Amino acid sequence: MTPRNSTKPIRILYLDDEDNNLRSFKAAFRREYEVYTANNTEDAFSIIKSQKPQVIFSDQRMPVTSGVEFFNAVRQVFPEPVRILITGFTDVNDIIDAINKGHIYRYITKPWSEAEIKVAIENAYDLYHTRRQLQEKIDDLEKTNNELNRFVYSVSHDLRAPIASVLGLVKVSQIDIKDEASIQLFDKVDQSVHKLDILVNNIIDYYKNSKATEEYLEVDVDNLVEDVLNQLHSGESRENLTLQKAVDQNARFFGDYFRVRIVLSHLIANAIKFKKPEQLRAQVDLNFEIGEDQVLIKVKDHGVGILQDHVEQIFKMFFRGKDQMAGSGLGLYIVKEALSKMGGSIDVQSSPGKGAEFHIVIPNMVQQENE
Amino acid sequence: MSDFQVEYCLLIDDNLVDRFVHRRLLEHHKIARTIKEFDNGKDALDYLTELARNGSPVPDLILLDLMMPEMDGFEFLKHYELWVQRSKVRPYLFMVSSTEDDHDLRRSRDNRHIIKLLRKPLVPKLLKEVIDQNSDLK
Repeated sequence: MTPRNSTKPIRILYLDDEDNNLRSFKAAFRREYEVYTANNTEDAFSIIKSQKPQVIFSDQRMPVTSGVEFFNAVRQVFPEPVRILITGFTDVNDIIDAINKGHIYRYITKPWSEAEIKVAIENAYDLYHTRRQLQEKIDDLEKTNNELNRFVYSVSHDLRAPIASVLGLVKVSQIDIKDEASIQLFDKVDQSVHKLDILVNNIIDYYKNSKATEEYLEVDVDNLVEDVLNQLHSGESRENLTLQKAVDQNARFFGDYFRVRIVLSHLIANAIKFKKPEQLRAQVDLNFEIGEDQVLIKVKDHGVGILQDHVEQIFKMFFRGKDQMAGSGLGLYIVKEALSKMGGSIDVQSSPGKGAEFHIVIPNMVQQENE
Repeated sequence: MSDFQVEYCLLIDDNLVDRFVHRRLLEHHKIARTIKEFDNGKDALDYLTELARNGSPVPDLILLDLMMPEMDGFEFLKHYELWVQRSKVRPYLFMVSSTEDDHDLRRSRDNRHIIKLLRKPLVPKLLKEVIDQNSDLK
């Protein structure tokens, strides 16, 4: 049996149109339980509201409303209390129906015995208590989860500011420091802090993507590409990139703007990261085909390409190729997650030395927007 | 023809390190000849108002941080709006921030005073380009 605080007896409400029944019920159980009674549904409702009983009994046969009807009404407003019907044998079909529809937990036939009611109360309270605990656990988990997400997000944000300051100081050092050994040291600082910056940004993107709120905005491809280039991480700045863009626009493009941006940002960042060593600038061809139903975006780079063994794995969390400039292993995972949230897809064709071509398909939300 | 891109730049940023970095980058890349720093928006506004009242030369470039205590960048811009109306000049104004927030990104695009939101650390080459692109708007 569920342990409970002995100073707080179980609260019970009994509804019956016959005052005699109410009196005998109260006399039998008032010492062990906190018993409330009502001889009409109006009073019953106001007791439920003010006293919050955990278990409710009701007679089935009453002049205005039947017990099943009463419970059905209670359930809509106060789903928590456990409902038990007291009835004669005559209303079997109604009762079976009520149990099957979940309006009542169980029924007790007249004449009832004290022992029977007591067992019913204890069992009903067990159920009530268990449901409540479960709900509390769910609420707790949701709260913790939200807090954790918010925490990660705000920490990442707060981390970005000092990281940006350090990267700025390194830029100044590149101007003002002439000593060869120091220059090399600062280069190493630069590389390490860039990695940190990318990791922090990936965590922020991961968080943004985990949020369910999707808003569909009209996507202006020029603005989009400009935003992507503008938000490139310091180590992957647009100076390291030659971008060719082609747009074949046959419809207006509505979509989850920021997820689309996240997808393109990561693919272009990768193109820069994985350019061939002899390439001065990474070369990326961006191709948009905007149709009424879907948008196809092709991102073709001319970099080192992807080993055949790795093609299957690149979208997995924390997968890293065995390369010089290992990333966080989050980038393409975030791309894939963002696309699955948008109902889109991605595939890649690549061979080592020949670059990689990613094909992204995103549903065009233009119809939904017009409705 | 001046060898600097602009004459007079205002840096508004509560972070000392970032002001130091921006000053050095602006000098080295010959973007601004004279640079004045403020660690909060309010003092900067008072200063701008004073300049306008005296008929003194006003800055032609402003780098404005977003996240500042008391008065953040967007709050600053609400007051700046009045100043622009009264002084009838329009410096190049850039918001400079380490923010990754999409909401900030959109707000800065929607604000007519902001030419662009630039990510920290500042990329001088990009700043120069955008100033050039916008020189006819002035």
